[in-house]
Order: sequence, then structure tokens, then C-alpha cells
Amino acid sequence: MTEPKKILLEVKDLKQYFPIRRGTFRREKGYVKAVDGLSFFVREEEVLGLVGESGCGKTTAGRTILRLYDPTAGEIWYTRQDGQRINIATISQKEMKPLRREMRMIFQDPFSSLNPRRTVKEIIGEPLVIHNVARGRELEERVAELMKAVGLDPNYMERYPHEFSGGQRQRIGIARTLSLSPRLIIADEPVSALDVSIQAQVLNLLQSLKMDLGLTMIFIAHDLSVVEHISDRIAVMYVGKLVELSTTEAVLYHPRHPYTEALVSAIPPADPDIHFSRIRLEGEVPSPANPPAGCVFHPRCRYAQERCRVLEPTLVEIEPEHFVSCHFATELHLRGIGGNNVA
Amino acid sequence: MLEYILRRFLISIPLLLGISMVAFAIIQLPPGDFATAYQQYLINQANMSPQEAEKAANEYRKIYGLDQPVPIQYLRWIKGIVTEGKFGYSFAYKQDVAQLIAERLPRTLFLALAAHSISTLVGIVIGIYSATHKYSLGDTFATVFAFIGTAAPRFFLAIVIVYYLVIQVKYPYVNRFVSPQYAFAPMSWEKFLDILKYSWPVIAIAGFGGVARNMRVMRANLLDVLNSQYVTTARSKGVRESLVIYKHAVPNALHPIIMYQGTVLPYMLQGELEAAIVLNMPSLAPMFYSSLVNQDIYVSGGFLFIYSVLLVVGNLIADIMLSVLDPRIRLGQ
Amino acid sequence: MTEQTSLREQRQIQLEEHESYFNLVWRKFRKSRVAIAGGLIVLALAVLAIFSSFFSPYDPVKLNMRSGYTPPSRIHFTDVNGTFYGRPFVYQWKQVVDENMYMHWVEDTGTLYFVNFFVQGWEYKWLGLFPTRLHLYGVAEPGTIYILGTDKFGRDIFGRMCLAGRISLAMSLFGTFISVAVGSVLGVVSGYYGGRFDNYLQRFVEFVQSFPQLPLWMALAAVIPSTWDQMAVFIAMSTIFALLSWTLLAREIRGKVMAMRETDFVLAAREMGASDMRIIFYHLYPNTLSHTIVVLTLTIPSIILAESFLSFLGIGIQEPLVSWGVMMREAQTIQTLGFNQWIIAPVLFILLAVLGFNFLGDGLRDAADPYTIT
Repeated sequence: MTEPKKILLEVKDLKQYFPIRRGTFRREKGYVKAVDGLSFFVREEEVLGLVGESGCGKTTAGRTILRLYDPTAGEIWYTRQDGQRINIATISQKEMKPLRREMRMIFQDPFSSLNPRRTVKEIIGEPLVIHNVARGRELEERVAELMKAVGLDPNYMERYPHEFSGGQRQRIGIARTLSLSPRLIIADEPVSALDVSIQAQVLNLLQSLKMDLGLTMIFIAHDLSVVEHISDRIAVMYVGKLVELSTTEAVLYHPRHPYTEALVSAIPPADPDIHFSRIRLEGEVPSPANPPAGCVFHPRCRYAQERCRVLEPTLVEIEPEHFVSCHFATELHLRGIGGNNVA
Repeated sequence: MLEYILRRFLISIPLLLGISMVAFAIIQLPPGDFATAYQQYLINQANMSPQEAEKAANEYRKIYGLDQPVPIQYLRWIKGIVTEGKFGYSFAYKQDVAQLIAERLPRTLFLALAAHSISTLVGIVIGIYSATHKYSLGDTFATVFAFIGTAAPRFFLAIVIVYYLVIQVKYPYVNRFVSPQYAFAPMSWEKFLDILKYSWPVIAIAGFGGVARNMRVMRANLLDVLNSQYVTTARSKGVRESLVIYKHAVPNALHPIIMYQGTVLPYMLQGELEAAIVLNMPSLAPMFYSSLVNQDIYVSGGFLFIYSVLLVVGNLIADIMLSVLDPRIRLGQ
Repeated sequence: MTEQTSLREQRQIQLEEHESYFNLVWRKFRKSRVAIAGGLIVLALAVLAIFSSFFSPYDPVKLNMRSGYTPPSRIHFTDVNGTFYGRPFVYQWKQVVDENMYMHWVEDTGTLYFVNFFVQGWEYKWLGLFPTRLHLYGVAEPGTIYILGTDKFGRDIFGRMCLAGRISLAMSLFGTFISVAVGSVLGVVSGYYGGRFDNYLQRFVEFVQSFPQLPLWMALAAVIPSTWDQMAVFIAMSTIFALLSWTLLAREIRGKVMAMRETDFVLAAREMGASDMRIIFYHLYPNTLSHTIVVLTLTIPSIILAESFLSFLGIGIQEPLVSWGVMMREAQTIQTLGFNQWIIAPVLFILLAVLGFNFLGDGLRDAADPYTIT
């Protein structure tokens, strides 16, 4: 049995609240609790899928981890190459800058994440320039290598983003992210804005890059079927909270949280003969400015009991490597993909 | 909405104070003070000897506190304005500036507002015609007219009109606001017509640029609206074309113009200023100009301040009207 | 693993021109005839101004009282006898008094003076460096040719108009430049950082915009001491005009930057560790250029108009500096204008300049957003 890889990133009780300002004097009247107590870890060379519907806080979580926002509370432990762990939640932006070489992001929208006034070479090469890694000739060579790695012709490096298709632009973004050979990549819905046929191509690219470069990735998505093949483990978020975290297989085939069950039921199984019915959740997603009391999912949960309305469940490891935040996690018999039941 | 109005109103007060300080500072800029200019004036116009003039000037300084430091002078000035309505003294006209303002401000207001209303109305009408008869001779003519209207300097137009009126036609109604026989009479229809006889050139010139601008905006807006889907729907329902235009399209095209009335006011004031100076119409502008040349500083300062007040009040009214009409502002952003 | 672009697409990518932002803008600009016309007009005026000495047959500064108020020379091709000549010629004007003691100008048809091109005339320095005597056109002495007549001091009006263009255009360009520089920097910084600085700037902008432009300019210009030298006056006047016009650009750019700072590419720049300075000047600023260019071409004519009015009134620019407005000062007296209508000619250049810049600005505004499909 291979030794489990070291933990590269560990997030402990991360909170990100945005104040709501109203009135003539812009007083704070409340908070949008975008991320409300998130805890998980990521091992080296593994891909963690972070899924949830729009507004659940997954994008905010990704940005907070990279210190694009200053966290309201919590810890973000990053293990450096020399093995030292550092809590990047509290360091200054100046101290953060050298770490940015190792932790990078892939953005969702290929149309707005590239500066329309800059050439591809300037875009991909910018991190190299900012961190004084390469200039001139050497920069061009590095950019050419990166373009080839993502499947683009280096001859086009003097062109402008608008001359490329959506899928190609996303590749440019990926090349830019890889430019400093990062150890951790947070991919924020990298295929959500692409056509379905192109999605597959870009996903395949990410997959092969992961294998060739041994990348560690947090893959944010709102669709489980997107992360199915690329993730080693999956974390499910709902209204700022983590509700389930386990291996891909466990989450998809043996979910323990009712919300996960509903998400999973929406994935059509590969076998057309299997009869599958989607679980339709009633009600609307609550606003993170005003989350429900008790379990945050209880208004829409078909298994909800009195306890759920009052008491907030905690994240508990009910099996090795399987964390669930539900009062009845061990009791419920939930369906996985294609109707597989828990044993 | 009331809160919005109140907020705008309250902001105006420090704004006006700030402006008054700047205006006062400007008139203090030339070397010497009011008394020095007075002294010059006495020597040049009143034929006093230099020694006598100097003595008079020094007396003057003491009486009006001109030997005090500038901030104190400012405070006296602003106190005079706010509490007593006194704007300082004009030695050229030997009165308090407030009286000069009282005389001339209504005329400036009348001219500017008349120019504004006419330019809006005429501009809108021509704009509607232009849009509905796109690319016709009339439209081309109107467009050319619009371009010239925004490019020609107003003082040039004033010169041309004066030339034509005085030299060619020998028009008698110039250089005054109203005929002597009506000067002190109460307002009446005849008096109003009389005033128009003198003031139509200034109104026309001041409004000219505004007509051009409104016409272009109206034409563009109306063309946009006529291309929109609900107009197409109305037409396909069989609604009469004139009804489509006047009942459906025009009110919507009009909306942006009404919204931006506030920005047109300064344009009108400046047009009036240029035209009135050249045509020597007894409104604020020509006196402002001569006070700058003569260094009659309280007139300059007072008039500059009044112009600013007009602008601020105009903007305030425009904003309030906007908030009444536009529910987005009324209900708070 | 290359994306599956069709063979046709691949060839098309290779055939297409390098599509930088400037290329796209230029292509769209070329399509608008009005914009090109505007550009040509502005160019023509600039050439006339810079090389004004080449275009004036007579020294525009030299006084020549005897030729005061001469009417414009009429260009003829056929003489009084009906003989057609292939080249243009002029007659000289002489004053004739009729029986009612009214004075008329009459052409002296006795002597023809042919218009020659590329003649030798008064000496000047080409571009201020190389002495030369070459002029575009002229007539043999003692004949004179005044295309637009002369002013009170006998100076050729057309020549002076060209010379005056230097001050009128330079001042509006310089004033606009100051206004744009201040406005764009303040706008970008204010839009990016927001917060208290932005709040104070907004209040300040509101404050500045509450001043009536023309009266303030008049008051400030009147304050310039007559003892200042020409350069100081020029700079002071340009600054005065810039004082109130920077607010427009500041507000527009602030708005654009505020919208842009939430976009992903700015976020990406921060994510990779770019400093604020870099984000502002390398990323945000180039994206505001389109606004800047348009505001620039629209501010210039407003300053030209304002400057000409102030100079017409005698405030600000004084002799011996000459601008189009200064030249029109002579038209202030209606009687003078009545007898010598041609002294109003400088307004022609004002009109052309304002129209030219307005057309240019309109064309640029349409072209500066090349990503929208028209």
C-alpha cells in the first residue's frame, strides 16, 4: 500500500462574511455569510472537486484561499516546499506575493479573464515578468513551451484574445496559470462557460496535465458530472457550509447527505436501461445573508425532523475518509448514481 | 424621495460657501485692493489730483475695513450677503452691488429661460420631423444646421445679427431691454411684446446652439425608439402611423431629453452671456465684463457668485425634477 | 492535442492581418467619411498654422499703415476687354470719392498682376531653423495680393489667420492635454481605490462643476497681469481652460474603471501578484484610452471657442500674440465692420477647426469600440 501523500493545503473553519451596507450613512446592517466555517484538506497530487449550486460560496472559498479576499476568520495552512506549514490567512499581501508563484487560479470566463488589449504572449508571460523569472528571448521560449503544453500553436503568441475561440482562450488562461510551475491550482469552474463539446476537450487537457505534471488541484464546479472523472475526492457545499466530503466513488455511489443525494440523482447513468428519476428539491436556495436556523438544508430536505430545525449539525467522519454534516447521516438510506443503494 | 431632496439641498449649502470663497479669492488676486482701483478711478474719471485721490482712497480703506486681513474681509462680505443682502460697493455705479444684481438678474433669467424653452421646443419639433423624414432634404438641411449650430461661436452670430440689424435694416430696438415708456410700468401684455422686440436676437442666439443639440439628440432617440419592438408591434396591429409616432414613440424618445434638462442650463447661460455682451443688452453679462476691465471687484465677485448660485440652484431643481420623474432614484438606489 | 479547427479556419487565421486594437480602430475609422473629412480639415489647419510663413506673401507682423483696410483681391481669369488668360491675375484697389462724398473701392483695371507660385518674398526661418524666402504665391511688386484683405494696420488677413492658428490650436491642444492628463489620472486612481479618496474626489468634482465656465474663465483671465511675458500668459491661459474641463474625463474614466476592476482579468492580475501600480497603468489605463481620445477631440473645440471669445473681448491674450479671437477684436465696432466686412474672416478658421474636431471626435467615438458589430 502506497504511503498517503502529504497534506498540501488545510483549511480550518474558514469564514468569509461580506458586510451589507444600507442607509444614508452606509451603516452595516448584516452580513452575507458567503463561507461559513469551511474545513477540509487537500493532499499533494490529488484533485479535490468542490461542488455546489450558484451562490453556495465555492468561488468565494477559492478566492479567499488565494487571499484575493481577506478572510473574516479561520486558518489556511499551506505546506511549503521545505515542509514548513504557514497560515496564509493572516499574513500580509507583501508576504503573500512570493507564495503566489506556487498557488494559482484558473478563471471561469474565458471572455473576461484575458485583457483584450494585450497579446497572448504578454498575457501568458505576465507572471514571469512580475516575479522576475524571465525576460525577452527567454520569456518567449517559455511562453512557446506553455502554449504547446496546452495545445496551442506558439506562432499565435502575438495575437489578441478576441482572435481566439472560447475553448482556445481558456487554454490561454490555463497556460498562464501553469507559467510558474505552481504546486497548487484552484480551478474556478474552468469549463462552465464553454460549449459542451469543448468542455470535454478542456477537461481532457486538464486531466493529462494533472497526470504529466503531478498537479494538485481544487476543482470548483456546480455540476457533479464535470468533476466525476477528474476528481479523487469531492466536497459538497451548500449556502456556505460543507455538507459532505469523501472520495469520488463514495460521494457518487454512496452519498450520505440528502443534498448530495439530490445532486447525484441528476446525473444520468451510462446505462440507458436503468430507470432513473431525479429528486426534485422544493423551495429555493436560501440567501446567505439570512440562512435558516439549525441545519442549513432543512427547509428543502425530505428527511428533515424537528431536530434539524433547531440544531446545527457538525461535520463528522462517519467512515474513514467520509465526512458528513447531517444528524441522520448513519441512519438514512440514500441513493447514489443510477439508484445504487447504500449497503 | 424627500430624503434625497433634503440631502441634495443640504449639500448645496457648503457648496455655495465654497464657491463664495473661491469667488472672493479670485477678486483679491490682482495687486492692490479695491481702494487702489478706486484711487485709479478717481484720478482717471473724476479728475482728482494724485494726492487727493490717495487721501480719499485711504479714508475709504478705513471705512470699509480694507486694511483688515483677507479672511476677515471675506467674513464681512459673506455676512453682508447673508444677513443684509449687501454685496459690496461698486464705485463705477455708486451703488451697492445688490441693487445692480436685483436690476439685472431677472433679465438674465428671462433671457436664459426663454432661450432654453424655445430651444427645447423647436429642437424637439425639428428632431421629430428629421427622424420621421430621414434622409429627406429637410433632414439633411436640419443636420447641416445642427452642425453649424454647435460649431459657430455665439459671439460671431451676435456680430452678424447686429451688423444686419443696425447697418442693413436699421432696426431701432437695440441696446435696451425695454422701451423708456414701459421702464417703470407694471408688467402687461404690451410690455412683454415690447421686451421681445429688443430681446429676440439674444434669445435666438442663445437658443441656437441648444436647438441644434436638442434636435440631434431627439432625432437619434426617436430613430432608436422607432426601431424597437413595441413600435413594430403597434404597426403590425394596424395602428395609424401618426398615432404610433406621437402616442408611442415620441414620449419614450422624449424621456432622456427631459432627464437631462439640468445640463442644458449652463449652456444657455453662456450663450446669453456671449450674445448679451456683444449686443450690449443690459443684463448681468455686459456689466460683469466691464467690471472685469475696470477692476470694480465687488461687482465681479458678486456677479460671479450669482452665476454660480444660478447654476447650483438650476442643477438642484433639475435633480429634484429628475427624481420625481425617475422611479429608480425616487425609490433609492 | 490541438483543438479541431477546420482547415479553412486555419488558413483564415493565417491570412488575417495582425489584429491589434489600433488596427481594428483604424479600419472602422476609415469607413466613416465624415471622420476622415474631419481629420483632413484638422490636418490642413495644422499645416497652415505650422508653415504659416510659407502661405503668407507678406510678413504678418509688419505694420503697413498705408495699406490699411484694403479689400480682398479678386481673382480674375478674364480682363475687362474679354481676353482670357490661362493664369489667374489680380487688379489693385484704389479709393474713389463720388459726388456725395462717399468713398468706394474700385479696381484699377489698367495694370494686370499675375499670380505667381513659389515666389521669393520676405525672409523667414523654416521651422524656426533654416532661413528662406520661399512662399506659396505672390504678385510682382508694386502689386499686392490680399486674398482676404487687410486689417487696420495693413497686414494680410489670410497670412495672419494662418499665423494665429498657431496660438489658437496650440493653446487648445495644450489646455486639453493638461485637462486630460489630470482627469485621466485622477479618474483611474479614484475608480480603482474607491473609498475615502474617491468620496472626496467626487465631492470636489461636484464642486468644480458648479462653477459657471465662461464667467470663471473671464474672471481668471482678466486677472493675468499685463507684465507677464508671452510664454507665461500662454501657460496661464491654457491652465485656466484646463481647470474646469478635467472633470468630464475624470468622471467617465472613474465609471469605467469601477466597472472594470471587478472583471476577471483584473482579478487575475491580482492573483498573480501584480502591484496596484501595475494593474492601474498596465491593465486598466489602456482600456480607458478610447474614452480619453474621444473626450480629447471634443474638449479641443470647446477651448477654441472659449479662447476666441475671451480674446475677442480683450481678456487674456494680448498683442503681439495673435489668435483667431484676437483678430476678431477689430470687428467689435459695428461701423468698422460695416465698411470692411472682410475683417470677420478669421471666424472661418474657427468654424473649420470646431467642425473638423467634432467630426473627428464623432468618428473616433464610433471607431474606438471596435468589438461591437455595427
